[in-house]
Amino acid sequence: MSHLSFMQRWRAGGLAGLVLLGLLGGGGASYAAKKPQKPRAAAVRKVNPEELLADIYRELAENNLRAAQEKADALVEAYPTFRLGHLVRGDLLLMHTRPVAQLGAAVPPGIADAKLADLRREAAVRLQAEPARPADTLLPRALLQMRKDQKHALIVDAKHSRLYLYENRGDQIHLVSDFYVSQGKLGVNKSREGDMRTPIGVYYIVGRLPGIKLPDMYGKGALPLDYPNDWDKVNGRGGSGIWVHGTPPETFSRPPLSTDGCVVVSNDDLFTLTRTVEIGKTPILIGDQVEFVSKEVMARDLKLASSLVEGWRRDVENRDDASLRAHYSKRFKTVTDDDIDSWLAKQQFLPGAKKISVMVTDPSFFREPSHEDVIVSNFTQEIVVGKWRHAVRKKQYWVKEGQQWKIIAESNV
Amino acid sequence: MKKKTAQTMRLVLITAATIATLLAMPAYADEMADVSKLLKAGKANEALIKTNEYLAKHPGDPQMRFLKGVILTEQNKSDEAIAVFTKLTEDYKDLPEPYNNLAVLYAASGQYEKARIALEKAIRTNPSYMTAYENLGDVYGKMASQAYDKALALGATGAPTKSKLTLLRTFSASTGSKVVVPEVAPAPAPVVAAAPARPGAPAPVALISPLPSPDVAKSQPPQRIPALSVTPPAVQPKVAAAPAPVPAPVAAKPLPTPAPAPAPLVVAKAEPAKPVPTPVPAPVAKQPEPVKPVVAAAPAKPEPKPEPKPEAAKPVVKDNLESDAVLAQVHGWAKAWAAQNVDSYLGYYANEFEPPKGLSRKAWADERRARIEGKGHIRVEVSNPEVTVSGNTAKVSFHQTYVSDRLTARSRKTLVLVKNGGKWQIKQESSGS
Repeated sequence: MSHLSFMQRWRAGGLAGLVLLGLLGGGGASYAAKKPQKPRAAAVRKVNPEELLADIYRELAENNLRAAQEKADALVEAYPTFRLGHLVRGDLLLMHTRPVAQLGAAVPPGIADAKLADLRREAAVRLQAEPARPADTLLPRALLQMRKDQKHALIVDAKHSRLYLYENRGDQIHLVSDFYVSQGKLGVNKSREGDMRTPIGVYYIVGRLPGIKLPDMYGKGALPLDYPNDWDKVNGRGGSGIWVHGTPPETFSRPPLSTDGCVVVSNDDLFTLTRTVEIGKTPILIGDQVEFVSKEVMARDLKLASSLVEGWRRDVENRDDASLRAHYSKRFKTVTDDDIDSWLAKQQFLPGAKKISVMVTDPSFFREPSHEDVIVSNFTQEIVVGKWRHAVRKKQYWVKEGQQWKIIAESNV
Repeated sequence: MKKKTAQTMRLVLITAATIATLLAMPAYADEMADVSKLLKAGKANEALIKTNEYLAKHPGDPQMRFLKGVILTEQNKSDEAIAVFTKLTEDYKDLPEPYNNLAVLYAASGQYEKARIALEKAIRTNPSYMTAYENLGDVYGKMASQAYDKALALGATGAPTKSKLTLLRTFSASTGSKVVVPEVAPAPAPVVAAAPARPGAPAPVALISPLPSPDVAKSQPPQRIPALSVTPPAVQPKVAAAPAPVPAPVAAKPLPTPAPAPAPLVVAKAEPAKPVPTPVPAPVAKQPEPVKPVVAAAPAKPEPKPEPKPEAAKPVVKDNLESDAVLAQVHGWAKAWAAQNVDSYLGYYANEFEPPKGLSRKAWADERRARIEGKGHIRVEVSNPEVTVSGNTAKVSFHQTYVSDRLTARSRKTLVLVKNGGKWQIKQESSGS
């Protein structure tokens, strides 16, 4: 039965989740630590449907069917197109007269099995959200260092259908909010056009499209990503038009796996994001291995990333060609199909000069939230030769080859 | 305070007037019967005319007003019917039937929320009201399926689907001395004679039983609250004056196993370990009166009991073999019912069985068949039976637990059996205390 396979796939503590223990259900293994029921960071928003849903389950766990019912009524009144809300409400109505063993248990089989399975998945991931929310002391490993003027960053945890919004303030990052998201029908690791997958990697929000100019299916608007990025191009990944966008008017949310590769949030959440992001500046990191780690681990990782760039900078400054080459992978390739030789040749600046000084400023370091060890560094490289001065914004993709970190792609912005 | 008194006064006045009418009008029952007959024959228009004629003379009469509501419902004059029943609920706040019928009308037009509220009021007026529970179950089911439609975007169905809700055609006088289990109840229930004083006499099968006076209700509190509880916690049973443990509203556990509600009522009674009476060296003080309902050994009873053993609750039975045979039949009957083996089930009823509500034997049997078959899964349990045998007549009182996938109900049931050709068969069946 689909229910069983569903349970295995999502480990949501079973649909006992629905029954009793939904809030205590198992979370992902990638969370180093959890804090059970941390109150959400204060945000001025209308009542959150997901919190309401969690409330309903809490009431049920305490056998307060009446209270649960009232909350479900309120939920569908506030969000009339929240299908999961209707499903839960239907179950609650039936619970007045009979036991309901699982979400949508009384939906006659055969009429909408796929839709029901989708809603059960949505319920599982939504109910998982609260217990899986990282503790205050933990930070997303992917956000090694943001540039000072990058006020926000988005991290999409594909495994848990979650988008985290972080704020960068005073050299500290804080979790502002997190949202349920839908992703590609076939999950992540986009590699070609039409594969119904969401890409994994480090991207930027590069636009803001108002919903009024878009077809209904995009909802209240869209935030395009810069997929494919250099690393994707080097890897020959195809496709385009990966956006964060809203939902069509007939539904408040979409199933976890339902898009052609876009990241879909509710229109309310899209509105929040649209107001928050800065075009071309706000990074969005998508991965299936979003980890939350301690400050110490973050500091260690950042030290490593900085030292990589620093080693590279030194060799550029020293004009030590052999050492410089050693920083690059044998597989190195640029978007313009340069190999190491042709690329480095192009990077020469006043080759005849005796002494140059190279500075790296405004760096940012992101770790791809995936099983691959990829660090994306962005910085401004300033070369001063006598009275000549040259500055360029660089982006490097470092990958771990054996024990060594190598640059596998590089570009000047 | 003053207001309240005034209201009470008015109620009393109305009731008094009703009684006066009853006394003054010997033809009253006939008129009712006439209208019912016309209605049954499909002559709704004539029935309505007759009803209106009667109401012109006796505008307050609740029975006839109720019947008028039923007729209007039959004629699909929903708005008028709703008006009639609504007025009745205002005038007789403690009658569940008008609420029930209001709910049926609301549900028929897809107004399930209103239906739900009306049914909850019906149940509040009478917590043992089976029809209302069943109907409430249906309403919840309808609301749930609407919610499911929205959840799964199945597309709104235009007209509300035909409601399965049960319209009550009669007053069951559930608030008073007579206990008539309404049509939907999972147990066949003949009209029980009001007083145990004339137990043998066949109860007059009144289509419309007169409204009881509040005094009657007060004098027989146990009947106000028959031992029955329903698992759904939605409604907190309002308990009149029972010192007995009130069934706590058990929230329907969202677990696959139905949560059994705590056994309600039935005061001061030791639980016999087994239904089969073990031979007790009974110091029989006096001849047991056979037809009289067996009274559970109440501590207050001054009967000379040697030791208050748990078995003391057991009836003093003259012939254990006979009572064993009777019990075996009762268990067989429950088993056949639960197995939905209707032929076998009907076989437990004697030829002289009096079907309830004046139905013919065949109509009754058909109705039972329709109710029992295709119920999905049902379970019927007989517990704490008390048997009295007197010659060829036996009376068994017990707790009946009925569990279907829609409903769990406990009730007190009494079967009167007769011995026909060496075989005990059911002659009378009644619910309530």
